[in-house]
Order: sequence, then structure tokens, then C-alpha cells
Amino acid sequence: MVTVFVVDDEPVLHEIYYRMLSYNGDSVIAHAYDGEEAVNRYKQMNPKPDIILMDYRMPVKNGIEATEKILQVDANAKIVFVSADIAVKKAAIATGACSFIAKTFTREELLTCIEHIVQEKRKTESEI
Amino acid sequence: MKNILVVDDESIIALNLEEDLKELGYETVGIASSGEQAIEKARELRPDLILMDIAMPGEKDGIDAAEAITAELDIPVILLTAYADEELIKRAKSVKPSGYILKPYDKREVRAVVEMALYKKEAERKLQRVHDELENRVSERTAELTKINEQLTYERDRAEFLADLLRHDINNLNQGIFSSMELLLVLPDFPDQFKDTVRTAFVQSECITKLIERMHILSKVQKRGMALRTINIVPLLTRVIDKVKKSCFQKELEISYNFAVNEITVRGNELLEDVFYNILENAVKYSRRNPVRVDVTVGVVEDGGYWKIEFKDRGPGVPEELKDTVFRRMEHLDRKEFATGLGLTLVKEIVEEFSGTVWVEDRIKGDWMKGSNFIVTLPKG
Repeated sequence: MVTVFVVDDEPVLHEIYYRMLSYNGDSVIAHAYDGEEAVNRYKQMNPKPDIILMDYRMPVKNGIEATEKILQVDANAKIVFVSADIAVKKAAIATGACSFIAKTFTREELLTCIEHIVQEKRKTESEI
Repeated sequence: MKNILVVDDESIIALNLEEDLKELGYETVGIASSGEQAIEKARELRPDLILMDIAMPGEKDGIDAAEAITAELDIPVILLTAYADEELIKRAKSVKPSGYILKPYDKREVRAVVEMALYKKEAERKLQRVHDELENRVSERTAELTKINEQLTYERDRAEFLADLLRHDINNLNQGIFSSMELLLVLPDFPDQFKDTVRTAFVQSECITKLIERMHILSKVQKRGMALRTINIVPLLTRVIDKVKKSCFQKELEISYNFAVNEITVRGNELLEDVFYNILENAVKYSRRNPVRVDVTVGVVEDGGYWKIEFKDRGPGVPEELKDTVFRRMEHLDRKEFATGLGLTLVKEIVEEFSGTVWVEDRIKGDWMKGSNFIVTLPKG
């Protein structure tokens, strides 16, 4: 089971992520609706989630700013950008996001991406 | 009546000159007897003209005074002198007097020089007025244009902002619809009899994504001034054919292509992929036969400067009266049969931006129902 933290200002997408992931046997363990809330929530979380799904265009702090702050708190955080703004892909990756998924994405795209990152993460952890 | 200021340190000469001027029909406003006084009186009395002797005692001679007056006041000065040595004439010239009279003077000469100086000054002033007026008009017009330009920039930015917002929000909303349909289809106990209905909605949702993407590309094309480079279309066409095969997996496709060489280069950019993709996808989408057959060929246009890429399909064809309008979005909105979304509009915009052309012919000339031949020409790279 993969634990996921969803950050998106669109409530419907939280619902969608929840359904997609829980149907796959994974679990959404926390929600945030803007970048700042995401940073604060992440700081308090224990244990930390395996994956953070991060939107870009959000109030208060955008996804890039939130990613920056979260990585300062936890350099090992695995952040996947999911955004309709394809133009920010480069910036997202440069800031430290593991991957970028363009909206509109398919269920398969999302699950494959998550699975791949989690596998990598576990491999690194077992090597340590 | 023109007012003249007379300047001479010798009062007898000055008085004579004043007398002569009056006889000639001019008014005199006074007499000054030094350079300094001439400047002062000129400031105070604002004469139409100054007649001034050069050799005068004091710090400023006539030439110095003329220089100061010309620089400060818009009054023509005529210089008078008994001496005409080279050096003096050179100095006098340098202050650009309106005239020069040698003493002893001849009354008729005075009249001619004075008239000429006054006439010249008047002409200069007229010219200046026309010039000023023109300049005013130009600056008014410039200000107007600047304002219009600012307004246009504002409108454009606003339109871009709204389009971007719309694209972003529609994408988000569509994600909700798309993913919900997807989820329904993977539910193990979802009733089979509803699956087709869900699939239809699913395909429509995919169309929204494509439409939004095409609109985004179209807005980029319309910004103009795109950078072009040399592109090899052989791997590009191969890739596009693969992509179409993948996205139209419901149909059996026979896309034949035969490129004589491995390198065929044109001038373009990454949007060229959208051009080929849209034409090919269109050909496949509207074909009701199975398997769908499309032949892609590349040749040279007769004059040699262009490559000609042809896409021959066996779809429903395009009747004569629609051959132009299929490329124009607004004119075939009501014709579902030939509606191509933004696809062909996009194709035309991009191809023209690359200095190429695109049109449609019958695959078999004269029989449009046998399918179409979409032809793109692009400048060789």
C-alpha cells in the first residue's frame, strides 16, 4: 500500500484521487487545498507519506513554492507534480519534483508513475 | 508700419539714418549709442528690425551686440560699417546678420536691404509656425496611437489571461469527468449494458482535452514571429503515423508511406508534428471503411523550392464547394459531417506560418466521393 498526500485547490480532484488510489489498494492519508497548508500539514505529519501529489496553480503558495519549502523540511519527500500548466514542468523538476504529470491524465499514467517512484524509493531504502 | 531701432555711437549719423528711414516710410523706436545699450533697448522696445553700426566704443561692438540679440530675441539685425576688411566681414558673417550695408550708404540700398531682411524674417516665422503646427499634430497623433496601442496591449493581455484561465479550469473540470468515466469502466460489477454509454462520454471528454490543446497551439501560432529551423520530416512522419495508429486503436489502419531517401528537410518547428498529426487523424477519423487506408507520399514541387507531402485517404471525400471551407473554422460549424474541430484550421495557420500551403483535392480527380488528397507544400530546409 502506498500512502499519498494530495495537494490541489480543486475539491473534486481530491475525490477523484481518493477513488483512483483506494480502488488500487493505496491510501490518501492527508489533504491540503493550497501551497501553504501543504507545507504546514507536511511538517506535522508523522509518518510522512510515500508520495505527494502537487498541483501548481493554487492560492497563497503555488506548487513550486510549496515544493521548495517541503524539500527544505524533508529532502527525501517524493513530490509528483500534476498540473494543466505544462509550461512549469521544467521549473517543477528543477525545484526537485520527481515527476510531472500533465492534466488531463489517465488512471494508468498516475498509477504507473506512483508505483515507479515508490519502487525506486524502497530500493534505495533497502540498500541503506 | 515696421519699427526700427538705430544703433550708432555717432549721434549725427544716427539722426541722419533715422531721418532717412522715416523718409523711406519706416517708423523708428529709438536710438542706441553702444552695444550694451542696443541689447537693453532691443529687450525693452522689441523693434521689428535693428540697424547697427559695427565700430562702437565700450565692451561690445556691433557684432557682439548682434550676436547677443540674435541669440536672445527673434529680431533681425543689419550691420553697418565704413570698413570692409576681410577679418571684419568674416566676424560679421559668423553672427549671421540679416544684411550688411557699407557706409557711406545709399538710401535705395538701405531700403532694399531692410525690405529683404523684413521679408526674410516674416517668411522664417511663417515657416516656423507651419513647422510648429505640424509638430503639434504629429505629437497629438503619436499620443493617440500610443493610447490605442496601450489599449490593444491591455486587451490582448486580458484575452490571453482569460484564455489561459479557461484552459486551466476546463482541464481541471475535464479531469474530473474523464477520471470518473475511467473509474466506472474498471469497476468489476459495473453493468455491461451501460459501458458503451460511458465510453461515449469518455471519448467526448478526450475530445475536450484535444480541443483545449489545439486552441492553445493556435494561440501560439497567432502570436506570430515563430523561430524556424531545419527539420527532417522522415522520422517525424514515421513518428506521427505511429502516434495515430496508437490513438485510433479501435480501427484497423493501413498507412502506407514510401520515402525515397532518409532525409527530407523543411523549414519549420515542433508544430509541424501537429500539422501531420491533424491531417492524418482526420483522414482516419472520418473513414467509415475498415481497414482504413491512407497513402502518404513525399515529392518535389515543380519549381524545386518546395517539398510536397500528400495524404490520400478513402474517406467520405470533400465536395467541391467545401474544399476551401474545411480549413476555415467558422464556416462549417453547422455541418457535422465535415466538422473537424480546430484541426484543419490549425493545420492551415501553422503551414502558412512556415511559408507553405495546404489544400485538398479529390483522390481521384473529378470524383470527390472516392476520398480526398490533402496536400501540404513546405519550403525546403
